[in-house]
Amino acid sequence: MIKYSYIVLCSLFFITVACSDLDRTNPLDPKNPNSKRTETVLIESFVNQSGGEVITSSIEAFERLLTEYGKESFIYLEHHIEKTSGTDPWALDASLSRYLLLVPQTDEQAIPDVMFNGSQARVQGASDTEAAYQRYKIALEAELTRETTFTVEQQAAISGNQIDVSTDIAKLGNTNSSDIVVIMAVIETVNTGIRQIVRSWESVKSIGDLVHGEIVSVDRSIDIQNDWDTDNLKCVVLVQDAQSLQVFQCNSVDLK
Amino acid sequence: MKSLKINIFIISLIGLLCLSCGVVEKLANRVPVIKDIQASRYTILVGDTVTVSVTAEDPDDDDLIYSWSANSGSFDKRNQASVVWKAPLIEDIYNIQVVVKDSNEGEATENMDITVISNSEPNVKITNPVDGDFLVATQSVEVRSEATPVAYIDRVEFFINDQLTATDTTPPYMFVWQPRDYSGTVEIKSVAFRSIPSNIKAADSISVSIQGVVPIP
Repeated sequence: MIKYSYIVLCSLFFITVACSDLDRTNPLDPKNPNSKRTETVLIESFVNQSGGEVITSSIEAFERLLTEYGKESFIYLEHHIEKTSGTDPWALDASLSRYLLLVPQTDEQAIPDVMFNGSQARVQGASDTEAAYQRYKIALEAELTRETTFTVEQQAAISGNQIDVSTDIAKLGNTNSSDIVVIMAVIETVNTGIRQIVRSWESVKSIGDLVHGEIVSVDRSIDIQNDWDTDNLKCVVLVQDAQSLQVFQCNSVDLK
Repeated sequence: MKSLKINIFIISLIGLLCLSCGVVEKLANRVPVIKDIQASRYTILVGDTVTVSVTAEDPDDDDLIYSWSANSGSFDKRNQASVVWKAPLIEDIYNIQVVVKDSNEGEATENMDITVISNSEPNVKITNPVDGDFLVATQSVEVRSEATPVAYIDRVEFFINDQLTATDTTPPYMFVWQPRDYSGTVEIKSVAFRSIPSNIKAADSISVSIQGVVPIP
């Protein structure tokens, strides 16, 4: 009996050792050096409710794009920003900080201004809906073909007056990354879910270096504010290069 | 020995006489000298004629032979000191050349330029931006225009929605436009002016779409 036990244990040992040498060809395996994902496009639109016709044209153009491409094709966020308090009830200081980070040149700061995957592409201004739609579509099409070596998966749930978010970020491929930042946003959907207003925006963690095959977990609790419509909240997590401000990957989940 | 000395003396004497008479000089021919070359006009219309003439002399007083040529156009005669050149039908700067020869193969060459212009409108084209371009209101744009013939363009004026916005007198004709105050379709027009041979102008225009913005409220 003992003899058989030794044989079984030795067999298991050798199988275990042999398994570590197996080729990792599964494209979903984070340790597969060739694994990569299609990048989910993140579109951040910086607007203000009192911006007038140009803002309306920009928002209408995105409503048209979302109708055409579907809500799952990309993540559209409306950052409402203001410098004078009271011009927009949805305005966030964090959103303004985000904009000033993306557009540091004072003479270029004007809205509507739209960023695709962080600093990857920018489309500013909107004279009319058709022109804005055409320009956004060109930028979107270019970003939709992009691949990434990051995955972001999160679970988020409302617990009392808080939103608990648990996120796993995996670095795929065969290269390492450095200076990585994780940002979490809470968004509120309006207009039957087409418009997604940023209600909270936080840089929650500086990961720094991320080795390929590594998985990092980031947990966070976000306080729910009184004016949030908790029936229509989503949580968005994105991974960004802290220096270039390029967004590598993002993911959105509903909160119920 | 005495007769040899006499012979040498006689030969030397003949040599001195030849030198004084210019026989040796004749043997070493001197080339003609062109004193002046000129035209009755230096700027003419296409197909027009102009009299071109050369003043030359030969130090040896040889007879001079003239030969005129040009890279285009035609001459009524080519072998006189003063000839008539007929300009071609294309605007350009043409080179007229004259070769003056003496009867001993000596020659001198001189040339000059005659500018030929047409009485037509100048050619003008806006090269940047391009018709139909989207321009962002916060970003300045270099409006550029080509106008020819360059030598006869006095100035190029730029209009935004029929409002004179800039004037440039030297190529490349351009100005930097800051469209921050515009939104929607805007017409950019470039007008080139020439005053020779008469006051003529020509224009080119394009439409661009200015993507309007507002300052952050």
